[in-house]
Amino acid sequence: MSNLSGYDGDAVGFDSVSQSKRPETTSSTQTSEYGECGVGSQTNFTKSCGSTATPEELHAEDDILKEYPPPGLNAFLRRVVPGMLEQLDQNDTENYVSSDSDEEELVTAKLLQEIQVNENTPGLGSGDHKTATILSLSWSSAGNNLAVSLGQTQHEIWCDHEGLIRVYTVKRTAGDKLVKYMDITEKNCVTIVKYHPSVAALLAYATNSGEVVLCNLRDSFSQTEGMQLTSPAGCHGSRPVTALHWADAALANRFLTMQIQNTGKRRGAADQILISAGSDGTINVWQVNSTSKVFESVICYVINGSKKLAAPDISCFDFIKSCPLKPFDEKVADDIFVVGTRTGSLFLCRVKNAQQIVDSKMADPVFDVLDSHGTCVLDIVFSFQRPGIFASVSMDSELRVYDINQPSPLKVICLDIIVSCMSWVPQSPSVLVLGVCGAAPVRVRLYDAAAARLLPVDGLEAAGTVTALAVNQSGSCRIAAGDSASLLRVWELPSRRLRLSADALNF
Amino acid sequence: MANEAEETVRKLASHRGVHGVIIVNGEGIPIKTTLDNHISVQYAGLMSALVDKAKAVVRDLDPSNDLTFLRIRSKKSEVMVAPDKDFILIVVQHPVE
Repeated sequence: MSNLSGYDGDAVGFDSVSQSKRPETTSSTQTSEYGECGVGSQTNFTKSCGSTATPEELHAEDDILKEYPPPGLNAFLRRVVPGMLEQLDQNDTENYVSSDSDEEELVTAKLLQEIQVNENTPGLGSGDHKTATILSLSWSSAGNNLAVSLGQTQHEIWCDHEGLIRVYTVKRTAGDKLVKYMDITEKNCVTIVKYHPSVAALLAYATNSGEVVLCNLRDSFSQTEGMQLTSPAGCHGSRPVTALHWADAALANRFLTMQIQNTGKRRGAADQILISAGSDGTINVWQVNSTSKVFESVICYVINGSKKLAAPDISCFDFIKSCPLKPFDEKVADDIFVVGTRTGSLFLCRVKNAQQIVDSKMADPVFDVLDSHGTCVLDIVFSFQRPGIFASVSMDSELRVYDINQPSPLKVICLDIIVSCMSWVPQSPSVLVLGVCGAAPVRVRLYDAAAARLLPVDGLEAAGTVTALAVNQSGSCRIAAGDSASLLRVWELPSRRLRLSADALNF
Repeated sequence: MANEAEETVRKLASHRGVHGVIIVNGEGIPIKTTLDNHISVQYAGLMSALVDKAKAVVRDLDPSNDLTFLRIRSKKSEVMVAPDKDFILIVVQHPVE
């Protein structure tokens, strides 16, 4: 201080000392370096642990692994390995699948084949006609043949289009793919094709002009004389036939017995019963035999015929599935069928108690009218697993599940997709396959009717509006879907991997 | 003696779903592994730090307590860590198909 001048303005300088009072904390989770200090726990480890090792150092075995095994390693392993194994075993019993195992597994359907059905069909879709549409599909009993009907969905007054049925068969030499086997041509659009459920050679089809035809494909590679049997002229009032059904053994016996009682004719061993429904409100039951050339009417039912009401326009019908192995107290009548109409009505009918219509050979089978849909009923399918339960879908995307023992539906589900057709999935008591139309990218959906939800299934994309569906009910679950662009797609669905809800059988 | 450790590691590695086994020494260095070196180093560094932290948490909650085992379950895998005074055993398990 001695060298200070006498002026007040002299600056006095001090050495600057900076002291940081804040504790410094560094934390790093990088793999190459890890350091930690000042963490807020009482047990405070300050340790720089060995993530400074590099892979190269691991090769320097002379430094680190020179003493391998390090002292105490074996003792350590003996101590901890039993516990570790116990934990691993525990994982096995828990069947550890990731933390999101609660989420539903996504089932993927495998696209087996894609066929453009209208190739090489000069008569179809030519001139002013629109592109032909797949109208109906049917798998043969063994699932090795598929019949596809091509035609037009809309007709102004009369159907003046040519109809075509293409039959595909699985060929082993073609890698188990479906290959074209034969064509069957018709003068009108073929509305329905239906293979017999047990006799693989029998194919029935019906046309837009009211004809029902039986084909025996067994010994014919081409359409030959005598191969086809046609129903008598004028049946179904020459109106479109909208549904066909082959009777199972129990139902066939019932009708054949009825035929014997009515006509006194003996039945043939190979006689079958074919049932057809038309837009004129009639349901015809036919006794058919392709070998002995029999195509005779057993009985004709008229819906509401005894009430002198206008006959409804039948859009679909289905018979109850007989379950002969059910316990006695769970047995239900095996002669019940349900008829759906274009106005949305659902008629519960019975073969046994059909009322004879006065001055006519026809009968009225209706014994109850169920709560009706608001619009045209598109499809009715009886459950395979639950006798007496059936599902119906209408044009306004309303899916209903009914029990034949009560007129009101068990479930009414308003779908947010526009459904065109449906079928049950075999081995799954509550799952339906729905054909979808509209702008949705996925045109075939699986729907759990018991849980009222769409099931997540990948791979079921189709190009256009799905117009026909067929599910092979024997063996592997194969879904065939035909669309408005005549494209046929066949998928294999791992149906056993579908996770069912706890109340899959309780609608 | 080496054979015993080798055999134990092999036994663990052959268990159903086990993807890898790593033994880490007290300095955080992997001394035995069935995984690639760089993955082993990464596991060793991170798991050593996590074990220290977990030990601290357990002791803070109850000073008379000690960490015996650590399981980290994630979407893709599960890491099981058996810590000890001088070594850490790490087993990585993938979900069983």
